[in-house]
Amino acid sequence: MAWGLPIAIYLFLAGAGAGAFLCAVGAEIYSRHTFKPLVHSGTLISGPMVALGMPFLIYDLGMGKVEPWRIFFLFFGNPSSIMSWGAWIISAFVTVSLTLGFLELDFHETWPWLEKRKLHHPKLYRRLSFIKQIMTPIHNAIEPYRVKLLIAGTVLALATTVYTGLLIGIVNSVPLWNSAILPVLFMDSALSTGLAAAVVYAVVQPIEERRLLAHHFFSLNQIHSLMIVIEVLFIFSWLLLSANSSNAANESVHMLMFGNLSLLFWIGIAFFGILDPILIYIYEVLLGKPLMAYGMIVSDGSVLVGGFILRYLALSAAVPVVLF
Amino acid sequence: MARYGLLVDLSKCTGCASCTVACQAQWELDPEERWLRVEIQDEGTYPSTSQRFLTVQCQHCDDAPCVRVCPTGANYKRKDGLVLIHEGRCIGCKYCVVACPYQARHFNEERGTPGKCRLCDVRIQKGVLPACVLACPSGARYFGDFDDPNSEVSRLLVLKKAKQLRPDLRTGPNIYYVR
Repeated sequence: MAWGLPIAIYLFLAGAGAGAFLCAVGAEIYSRHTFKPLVHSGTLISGPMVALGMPFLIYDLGMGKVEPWRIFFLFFGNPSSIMSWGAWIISAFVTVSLTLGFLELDFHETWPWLEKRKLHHPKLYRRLSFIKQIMTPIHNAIEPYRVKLLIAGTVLALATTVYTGLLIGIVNSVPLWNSAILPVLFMDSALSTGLAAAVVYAVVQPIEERRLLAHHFFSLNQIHSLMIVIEVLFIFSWLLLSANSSNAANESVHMLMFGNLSLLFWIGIAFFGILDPILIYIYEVLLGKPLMAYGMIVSDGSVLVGGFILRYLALSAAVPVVLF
Repeated sequence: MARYGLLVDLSKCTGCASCTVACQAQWELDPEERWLRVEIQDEGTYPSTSQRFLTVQCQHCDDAPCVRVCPTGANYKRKDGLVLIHEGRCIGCKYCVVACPYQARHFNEERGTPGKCRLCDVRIQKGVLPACVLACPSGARYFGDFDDPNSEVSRLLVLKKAKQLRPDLRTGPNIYYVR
């Protein structure tokens, strides 16, 4: 099919970014105090992650390198096109989540790690303090609207996760995609990869307090295992229903499970996406402590790999309808 | 208003692909760029086998998926029934290439936009038949106006019980086939 790797990266980053935002919101509603690092990292990475998908999208556009300004036709050319909806949703979401990410940088507070470097890196300290001085009034001006922005961001993030599935789901020329499960599967996968991305980012932070997340592995593991179990059910139903619908969809499923995509399917999705993380989660819960200091990078990094390969395979396994 | 389309009598088709070549010559396409292709299906078991042919091109659908999904409005349905591309508006997102159930579009990487059968709009404007219709050696292809009940294609449509390609996809194609 015409869509390949760049679009898979774009769909993955859009889904994972929006998912990270939703997980941050969920953690904040549950307990902002307990999950401070998750709220922080989820809000912080969501905007840049979705925005990072844009260069890949533009790279894939035939006119992206020749006349990139034509992208503005995307917004108003045909309001009934799902891709136009996506353009509105994603540009609004990136704006909102970058604003909230800006608030998360806490420009109005003192940064303890910066204070520690006051003696050894006076130049860095002076420059950053100067930036902080400029940013503090902006921060204070936006701060009162935080809750409103969060509500808008939640709606837009939900729309983004569903949009990635709807974009290819409405295409009735490919029976594998034209399935009601696909948007929900992509949404669940987006939540799972989003949580994984937020956790990975929180764990690799050099700041000590951000790393405290590892202490909450117990509840995070339970939630994440549930997401993966739901994902397994969705993938299973999707493939089973597709295999029994039309010839083209059957061929797609065959290609995924036994054909030339089967290696990626079994290693990428079945092992990295499902088996590896869920075994680590269950083992950690039984063990009662994290597997190792950076164990979350292994399990959650593996979720990210699986989520990306799911998008890539969904695009690659497309077989058009039979015409004869 | 006119509703131009083709009627292809597949019982006369020999699979020679003259239509493909005539189309490529008309629009100066590369050898691998086909706006009109011939699909071949083998039938029967040895020794009594045969082949069936199907010429597939843009079906100039009434409710075209490419027009529906195009985010910039570069794909449009003209009043005379032709589905055409406004090249200056196209961003090359390939959504139409993906959405076309007939796989009728070929994405030209060099130009950055997709190409497809235009039902020889420049020729029919001058009253000349489309290149593929003129080139068919067995006379299997007919061009005409389906809105005019007295046109050749309209009469053949009823007489030979011509069918659309995959009407179940609800695209309303304007290319009819006699099987």
